[in-house]
Amino acid sequence: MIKKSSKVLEPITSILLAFLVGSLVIVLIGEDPLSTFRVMFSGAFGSSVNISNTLVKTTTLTLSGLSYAFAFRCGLINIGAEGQMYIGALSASVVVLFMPGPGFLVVILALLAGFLGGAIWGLLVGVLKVRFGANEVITTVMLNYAAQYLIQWAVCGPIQDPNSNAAQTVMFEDTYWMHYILPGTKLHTGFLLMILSLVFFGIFLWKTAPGFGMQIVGQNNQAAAYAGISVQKNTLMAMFMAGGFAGLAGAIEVLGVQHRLLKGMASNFGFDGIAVALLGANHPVGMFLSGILLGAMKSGGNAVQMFTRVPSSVVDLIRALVIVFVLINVLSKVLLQVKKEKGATIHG
Amino acid sequence: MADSIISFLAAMIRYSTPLLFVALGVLVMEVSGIVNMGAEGMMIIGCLTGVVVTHHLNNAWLGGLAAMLVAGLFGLLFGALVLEFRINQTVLGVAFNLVGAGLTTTLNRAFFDGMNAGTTYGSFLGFPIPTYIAIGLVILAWVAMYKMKIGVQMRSVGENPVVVESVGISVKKLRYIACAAGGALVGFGGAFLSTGILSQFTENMTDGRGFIALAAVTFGKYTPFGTLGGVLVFGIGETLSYRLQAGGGAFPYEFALMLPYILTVLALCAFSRNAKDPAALGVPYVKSH
Repeated sequence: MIKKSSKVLEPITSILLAFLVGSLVIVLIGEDPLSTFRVMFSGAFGSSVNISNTLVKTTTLTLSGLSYAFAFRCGLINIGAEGQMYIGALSASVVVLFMPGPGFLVVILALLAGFLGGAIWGLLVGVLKVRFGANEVITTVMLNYAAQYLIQWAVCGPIQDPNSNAAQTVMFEDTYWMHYILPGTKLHTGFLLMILSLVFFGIFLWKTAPGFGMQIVGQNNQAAAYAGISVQKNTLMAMFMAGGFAGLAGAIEVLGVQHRLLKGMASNFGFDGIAVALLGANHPVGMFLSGILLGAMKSGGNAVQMFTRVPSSVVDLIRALVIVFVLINVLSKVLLQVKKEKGATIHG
Repeated sequence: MADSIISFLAAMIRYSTPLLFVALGVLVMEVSGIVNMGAEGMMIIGCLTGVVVTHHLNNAWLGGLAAMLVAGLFGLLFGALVLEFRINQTVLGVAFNLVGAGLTTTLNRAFFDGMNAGTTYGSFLGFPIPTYIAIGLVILAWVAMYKMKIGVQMRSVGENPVVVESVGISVKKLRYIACAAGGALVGFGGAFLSTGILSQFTENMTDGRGFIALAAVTFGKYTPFGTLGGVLVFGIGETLSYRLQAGGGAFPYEFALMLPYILTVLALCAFSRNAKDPAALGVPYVKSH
């Protein structure tokens, strides 16, 4: 019972501690943390429009978290969601810009292209690891920069809006936008795709043989090899899927939110995804909940930037601290300590 | 032609200096068995500290010293979390990078936006003095690692901590020392970037150098001179990138910017298999009773 409740209490403790340290920084800036957080909360949940904006951010964030989780379940650390998102967004944009056709079909093709583009960018990391032993953390970070500059080149050159100096493509025609699912809000069908992706992840992990095999690899390389499960094949597959979901996030961001490809469009969603995955324990349900929290922080952060003197980057700091505290596992470490001491007094 | 080669080499040595400090810091930690994926975060903290302290005290050396102190403390914190809680070092490193980015961006926007360092390091024969110090540190690191007791102990801790502990040497103590020294070196690299190469702080100005340093150490097979070689290779990439950007020729600017990163990936691919990692690298050490 303690174990079950600590599963919920542990992340909550981490969040509270992160906000506590964040408050110290806000105090240092000379602002009131409570009123800052109130602005953040109402920015995230204050109206149906705000809630829908939060859920739109949740969509992209959770898919980015899914990217991290997919690799992590195979024992890999994918810091490359940011770059994979860029490539996914580029692939989807190219389809929309150069393949005219009925809106519905083009959007589906663009989403597929986004997934595939990100997947190939991720697979590249898997290949470099399997073939050359190149550490995936370093290669994913390096490829993030490469992807970012590739997109920058594309939107300042070959696919730039000819009528603008801005680093962006033309606005897509609205037949190629993802449909809005709630009238009067910006919530779009990508949200449903995100939930389907989480369901797929859960089924894959716990109801299929390849998912089971991949988790064995993630837990113990050698045991997997003994059991005849190929570490190499699983590494490639996991990086392909991880890249794919990040690519899908990128495609959804351009088709459902920005409606054009912009320089810098990934705007840290890739790194936010790490927090989503860790806070949600790489579990589909957990990631859905942490996706909502991180989405709220992101949309609330915009309100903080607008209405207070606190820079929105304080949200990035709190997000990073959430990761640190989740890793430290404060609650169980402290509980364990108390238990040990209790045991000592009883036996002593 | 000869002139342009010399000016290219001179620029390369200059641009390589911050990375050399960072790579040496990473090397110290990795040799003792700790993976420092958080170098990027420690470096950016060094960048901001360097500019702020240099500006206020009007002395670049004091700025560098302050950066060493602050980043060294972050190194110790990293060490404490890794050694006391046995956290996954790679993920913690990534978290440290995000903390570093979030903290420096927030503090910079709130207090120091656009602050100029105001002064810089002195130079000798055309190179800033820290460049000579960095090269001196490479030699010192070699002597310490292979000719002195502390270095031999440090390397043993990275290879086989159980044996080291069994002869009565504290594994934790050695790794704490490595974390503090490593963080301090990384921090100075940051300060030299923001006050020696440039003269102000900009958000995320480290641009992946913390990770490139990790690649340089792998490239250099965990030896000081090998690391120097790795740093110079990346220095070629960076210098070439600046030249191509400034050239304004047919080569797109963005591809020039990509160059150091692509080079890092290629170098990792070419050298990862040959580099023998310290056997206990990244493995949490549990003291047996």
